[in-house]
Amino acid sequence: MPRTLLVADDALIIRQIIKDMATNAGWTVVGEASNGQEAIERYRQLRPDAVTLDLVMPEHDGLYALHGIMEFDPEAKVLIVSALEQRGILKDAIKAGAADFVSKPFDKGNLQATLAQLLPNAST
Amino acid sequence: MKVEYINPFLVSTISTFKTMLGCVLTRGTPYIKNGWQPEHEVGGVIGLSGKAQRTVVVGLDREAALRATEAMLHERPPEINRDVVDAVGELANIIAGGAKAQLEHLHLSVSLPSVITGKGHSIQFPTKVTPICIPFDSEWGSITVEVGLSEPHAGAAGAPQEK
Repeated sequence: MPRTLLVADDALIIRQIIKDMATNAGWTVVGEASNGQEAIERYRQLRPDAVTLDLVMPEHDGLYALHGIMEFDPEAKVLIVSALEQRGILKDAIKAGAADFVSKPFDKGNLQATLAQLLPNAST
Repeated sequence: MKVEYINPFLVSTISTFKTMLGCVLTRGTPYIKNGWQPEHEVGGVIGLSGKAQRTVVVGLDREAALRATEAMLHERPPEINRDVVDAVGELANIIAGGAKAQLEHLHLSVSLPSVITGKGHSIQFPTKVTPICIPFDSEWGSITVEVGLSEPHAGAAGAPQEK
Protein backbone atom coordinates (compact mmCIF):
# COMPACT_ATOMS: atom_id res chain seq x y z
CA MET A 1 0.00 0.00 0.00
CA PRO A 2 1.23 3.53 -0.67
CA ARG A 3 2.49 5.44 2.32
CA THR A 4 0.21 8.24 3.37
CA LEU A 5 1.30 11.74 4.31
CA LEU A 6 -0.23 14.80 5.96
CA VAL A 7 1.42 18.11 5.02
CA ALA A 8 1.18 20.98 7.52
CA ASP A 9 2.55 24.41 6.60
CA ASP A 10 0.92 27.82 6.60
CA ALA A 11 2.41 28.67 3.19
CA LEU A 12 0.29 27.24 0.41
CA ILE A 13 3.21 27.21 -1.99
CA ILE A 14 5.40 25.22 0.39
CA ARG A 15 2.60 22.70 0.88
CA GLN A 16 2.39 22.39 -2.88
CA ILE A 17 6.14 21.83 -3.22
CA ILE A 18 6.15 19.16 -0.50
CA LYS A 19 3.10 17.47 -2.02
CA ASP A 20 4.76 17.35 -5.44
CA MET A 21 8.01 15.97 -4.04
CA ALA A 22 6.27 13.38 -1.88
CA THR A 23 3.92 12.25 -4.65
CA ASN A 24 6.86 11.81 -7.01
CA ALA A 25 8.49 9.62 -4.38
CA GLY A 26 5.43 7.37 -4.15
CA TRP A 27 3.64 8.87 -1.18
CA THR A 28 -0.09 9.53 -1.16
CA VAL A 29 -0.80 12.95 0.32
CA VAL A 30 -4.07 12.46 2.17
CA GLY A 31 -4.44 15.88 3.69
CA GLU A 32 -3.13 19.36 4.37
CA ALA A 33 -3.20 21.72 7.33
CA SER A 34 -2.34 25.40 7.56
CA ASN A 35 -2.04 25.77 11.33
CA GLY A 36 -1.22 23.70 14.39
CA GLN A 37 -4.75 23.03 15.52
CA GLU A 38 -5.79 21.92 12.06
CA ALA A 39 -2.76 19.61 11.91
CA ILE A 40 -3.87 17.82 15.07
CA GLU A 41 -7.44 17.51 13.86
CA ARG A 42 -6.42 16.26 10.44
CA TYR A 43 -4.00 13.74 11.96
CA ARG A 44 -6.71 12.30 14.22
CA GLN A 45 -9.11 12.13 11.31
CA LEU A 46 -6.77 10.73 8.66
CA ARG A 47 -4.23 8.70 10.66
CA PRO A 48 -1.48 9.16 8.04
CA ASP A 49 1.74 7.16 8.11
CA ALA A 50 3.75 10.37 8.45
CA VAL A 51 3.43 14.15 8.80
CA THR A 52 5.55 17.04 7.57
CA LEU A 53 5.21 19.87 10.03
CA ASP A 54 6.28 23.51 9.84
CA LEU A 55 7.18 24.96 13.23
CA VAL A 56 6.01 28.53 12.69
CA MET A 57 2.35 28.72 11.87
CA PRO A 58 -0.43 31.09 12.94
CA GLU A 59 -2.88 30.39 15.74
CA HIS A 60 -1.34 27.25 17.21
CA ASP A 61 2.23 26.61 16.06
CA GLY A 62 4.01 23.47 15.01
CA LEU A 63 5.31 22.63 18.46
CA TYR A 64 1.75 22.73 19.78
CA ALA A 65 0.71 20.43 16.96
CA LEU A 66 3.61 18.07 17.62
CA HIS A 67 2.62 17.70 21.27
CA GLY A 68 -1.01 17.12 20.28
CA ILE A 69 -0.14 14.52 17.67
CA MET A 70 2.33 12.66 19.90
CA GLU A 71 -0.19 12.64 22.73
CA PHE A 72 -2.75 11.07 20.43
CA ASP A 73 -0.28 8.69 18.79
CA PRO A 74 3.10 8.21 20.51
CA GLU A 75 4.29 6.24 17.44
CA ALA A 76 3.55 9.10 15.04
CA LYS A 77 6.27 9.83 12.46
CA VAL A 78 6.61 13.59 12.35
CA LEU A 79 9.15 15.28 10.07
CA ILE A 80 9.82 18.90 10.93
CA VAL A 81 10.26 21.06 7.81
CA SER A 82 11.16 24.52 8.97
CA ALA A 83 13.56 27.41 8.52
CA LEU A 84 17.10 27.33 9.84
CA GLU A 85 16.21 30.23 12.09
CA GLN A 86 14.17 27.89 14.28
CA ARG A 87 17.14 26.02 15.73
CA GLY A 88 16.11 26.73 19.32
CA ILE A 89 12.59 25.42 18.84
CA LEU A 90 13.97 22.51 16.85
CA LYS A 91 15.64 21.10 19.95
CA ASP A 92 12.30 21.22 21.75
CA ALA A 93 10.68 19.47 18.80
CA ILE A 94 13.17 16.62 18.85
CA LYS A 95 12.67 16.25 22.60
CA ALA A 96 8.92 16.17 22.03
CA GLY A 97 9.24 13.22 19.67
CA ALA A 98 9.85 14.56 16.18
CA ALA A 99 11.43 11.82 14.08
CA ASP A 100 13.69 14.06 11.99
CA PHE A 101 13.95 17.50 10.44
CA VAL A 102 14.65 19.14 7.11
CA SER A 103 15.55 22.82 7.08
CA LYS A 104 14.29 25.35 4.55
CA PRO A 105 15.55 25.88 1.94
CA PHE A 106 15.37 22.19 1.12
CA ASP A 107 15.95 20.30 -2.07
CA LYS A 108 13.89 17.52 -3.54
CA GLY A 109 16.42 14.77 -2.92
CA ASN A 110 16.96 15.65 0.71
CA LEU A 111 13.27 15.81 1.52
CA GLN A 112 12.48 12.59 -0.29
CA ALA A 113 15.38 10.72 1.34
CA THR A 114 14.45 11.93 4.80
CA LEU A 115 10.81 11.01 4.27
CA ALA A 116 11.86 7.54 3.12
CA GLN A 117 13.87 7.04 6.29
CA LEU A 118 10.78 7.60 8.40
CA LEU A 119 9.28 4.35 7.18
CA PRO A 120 12.24 2.31 5.97
CA ASN A 121 10.33 -0.97 5.69
CA ALA A 122 7.26 0.35 3.92
CA SER A 123 6.74 -0.09 0.21
CA THR A 124 5.51 2.54 -2.16
CA MET B 1 29.56 48.98 5.36
CA LYS B 2 30.30 46.01 7.57
CA VAL B 3 30.53 42.88 5.49
CA GLU B 4 29.08 40.73 8.26
CA TYR B 5 25.80 42.64 7.92
CA ILE B 6 25.52 41.86 4.21
CA ASN B 7 27.07 38.43 3.80
CA PRO B 8 24.28 36.51 5.56
CA PHE B 9 21.74 37.85 3.06
CA LEU B 10 24.04 37.20 0.14
CA VAL B 11 24.75 33.62 1.23
CA SER B 12 21.12 32.91 2.07
CA THR B 13 19.90 34.21 -1.29
CA ILE B 14 22.34 32.10 -3.28
CA SER B 15 21.56 29.04 -1.17
CA THR B 16 17.79 29.46 -1.40
CA PHE B 17 17.75 29.88 -5.18
CA LYS B 18 20.13 26.98 -5.74
CA THR B 19 18.57 24.56 -3.27
CA MET B 20 14.87 25.22 -3.73
CA LEU B 21 14.76 26.39 -7.32
CA GLY B 22 17.84 24.88 -8.95
CA CYS B 23 18.86 28.35 -10.12
CA VAL B 24 22.49 29.40 -9.92
CA LEU B 25 22.96 33.07 -9.13
CA THR B 26 26.03 35.06 -10.06
CA ARG B 27 26.64 37.86 -7.61
CA GLY B 28 27.48 41.36 -8.73
CA THR B 29 29.15 44.01 -6.62
CA PRO B 30 27.06 45.31 -3.71
CA TYR B 31 26.54 49.05 -3.64
CA ILE B 32 24.73 51.68 -1.64
CA LYS B 33 21.42 52.46 -3.26
CA ASN B 34 21.14 56.11 -4.10
CA GLY B 35 18.18 56.93 -6.28
CA TRP B 36 15.35 55.03 -7.94
CA GLN B 37 17.30 52.12 -9.34
CA PRO B 38 16.98 49.18 -9.44
CA GLU B 39 13.42 48.76 -10.64
CA HIS B 40 11.52 45.51 -10.25
CA GLU B 41 8.27 43.98 -11.39
CA VAL B 42 7.81 41.84 -8.29
CA GLY B 43 9.27 42.64 -4.89
CA GLY B 44 9.08 40.57 -1.71
CA VAL B 45 9.48 42.81 1.34
CA ILE B 46 10.22 41.50 4.82
CA GLY B 47 11.42 43.08 8.04
CA LEU B 48 13.75 41.84 10.74
CA SER B 49 13.79 43.49 14.13
CA GLY B 50 15.62 42.99 17.39
CA LYS B 51 18.98 44.42 18.38
CA ALA B 52 19.11 45.80 14.85
CA GLN B 53 16.56 46.62 12.21
CA ARG B 54 16.64 45.25 8.69
CA THR B 55 14.27 45.61 5.79
CA VAL B 56 14.91 43.12 3.01
CA VAL B 57 13.54 43.44 -0.50
CA VAL B 58 13.88 40.53 -2.90
CA GLY B 59 13.27 42.08 -6.29
CA LEU B 60 12.74 40.09 -9.47
CA ASP B 61 12.04 41.09 -13.00
CA ARG B 62 9.01 39.59 -14.69
CA GLU B 63 10.69 36.59 -16.26
CA ALA B 64 12.64 35.72 -13.12
CA ALA B 65 9.47 35.85 -11.03
CA LEU B 66 7.59 33.63 -13.47
CA ARG B 67 10.46 31.14 -13.72
CA ALA B 68 10.91 31.01 -9.95
CA THR B 69 7.22 30.26 -9.50
CA GLU B 70 7.36 27.66 -12.24
CA ALA B 71 10.28 25.97 -10.47
CA MET B 72 8.27 25.80 -7.25
CA LEU B 73 4.94 24.70 -8.70
CA HIS B 74 6.06 22.87 -11.85
CA GLU B 75 3.67 25.00 -13.86
CA ARG B 76 4.37 28.35 -15.48
CA PRO B 77 1.92 31.03 -14.38
CA PRO B 78 0.32 32.82 -17.34
CA GLU B 79 0.92 36.20 -15.69
CA ILE B 80 1.96 37.81 -12.41
CA ASN B 81 -0.80 36.30 -10.30
CA ARG B 82 -1.49 35.02 -6.81
CA ASP B 83 0.86 32.06 -7.24
CA VAL B 84 3.73 34.42 -8.09
CA VAL B 85 2.92 36.58 -5.08
CA ASP B 86 2.94 33.52 -2.79
CA ALA B 87 6.18 32.23 -4.31
CA VAL B 88 8.06 35.50 -3.99
CA GLY B 89 6.74 36.08 -0.49
CA GLU B 90 7.91 32.66 0.60
CA LEU B 91 11.30 33.17 -1.04
CA ALA B 92 11.72 36.42 0.90
CA ASN B 93 10.71 34.60 4.06
CA ILE B 94 13.22 31.79 3.57
CA ILE B 95 16.04 34.18 2.59
CA ALA B 96 15.40 36.34 5.65
CA GLY B 97 15.16 33.26 7.86
CA GLY B 98 18.44 31.91 6.56
CA ALA B 99 20.16 35.24 7.16
CA LYS B 100 18.67 35.48 10.62
CA ALA B 101 20.23 32.13 11.52
CA GLN B 102 23.64 33.65 10.75
CA LEU B 103 22.91 36.74 12.85
CA GLU B 104 21.90 35.05 16.08
CA HIS B 105 23.68 37.66 18.22
CA LEU B 106 21.20 40.29 17.04
CA HIS B 107 18.18 38.27 18.28
CA LEU B 108 16.17 39.14 15.22
CA SER B 109 12.54 38.33 14.60
CA VAL B 110 11.20 38.04 11.07
CA SER B 111 7.98 39.76 10.04
CA LEU B 112 5.36 38.45 7.68
CA PRO B 113 6.37 39.13 4.07
CA SER B 114 4.55 41.54 1.80
CA VAL B 115 4.74 41.43 -1.97
CA ILE B 116 4.58 44.43 -4.27
CA THR B 117 3.86 44.03 -7.97
CA GLY B 118 3.92 46.54 -10.78
CA LYS B 119 6.17 47.19 -13.69
CA GLY B 120 9.14 49.41 -12.95
CA HIS B 121 8.54 49.97 -9.26
CA SER B 122 11.35 50.89 -6.88
CA ILE B 123 11.37 50.41 -3.13
CA GLN B 124 12.53 53.44 -1.17
CA PHE B 125 13.89 53.49 2.36
CA PRO B 126 13.68 56.15 5.07
CA THR B 127 16.53 58.67 5.10
CA LYS B 128 18.11 57.25 8.25
CA VAL B 129 18.33 53.78 6.72
CA THR B 130 21.28 52.79 4.54
CA PRO B 131 20.04 50.57 1.70
CA ILE B 132 22.63 48.15 0.36
CA CYS B 133 21.85 46.63 -3.01
CA ILE B 134 23.17 43.19 -3.97
CA PRO B 135 22.62 42.48 -7.67
CA PHE B 136 22.50 38.93 -8.99
CA ASP B 137 22.43 37.68 -12.51
CA SER B 138 20.87 34.39 -13.56
CA GLU B 139 19.64 32.56 -16.62
CA TRP B 140 16.17 33.73 -15.57
CA GLY B 141 17.11 37.39 -15.55
CA SER B 142 17.90 39.99 -12.96
CA ILE B 143 17.38 39.41 -9.26
CA THR B 144 18.27 41.98 -6.63
CA VAL B 145 18.34 41.85 -2.88
CA GLU B 146 18.19 45.19 -1.10
CA VAL B 147 18.94 45.30 2.60
CA GLY B 148 17.99 48.40 4.54
CA LEU B 149 20.36 48.65 7.47
CA SER B 150 20.24 50.45 10.74
CA GLU B 151 23.14 49.94 13.10
CA PRO B 152 22.68 47.70 16.18
CA HIS B 153 21.82 49.71 19.23
CA ALA B 154 22.90 48.73 22.71
CA GLY B 155 20.34 47.39 25.13
CA ALA B 156 17.53 46.92 22.64
CA ALA B 157 15.33 43.97 23.38
CA GLY B 158 14.44 41.54 20.63
CA ALA B 159 10.81 41.24 19.72
CA PRO B 160 9.38 37.95 20.96
CA GLN B 161 7.17 36.99 18.03
CA GLU B 162 8.77 34.89 15.33
CA LYS B 163 8.00 35.04 11.60
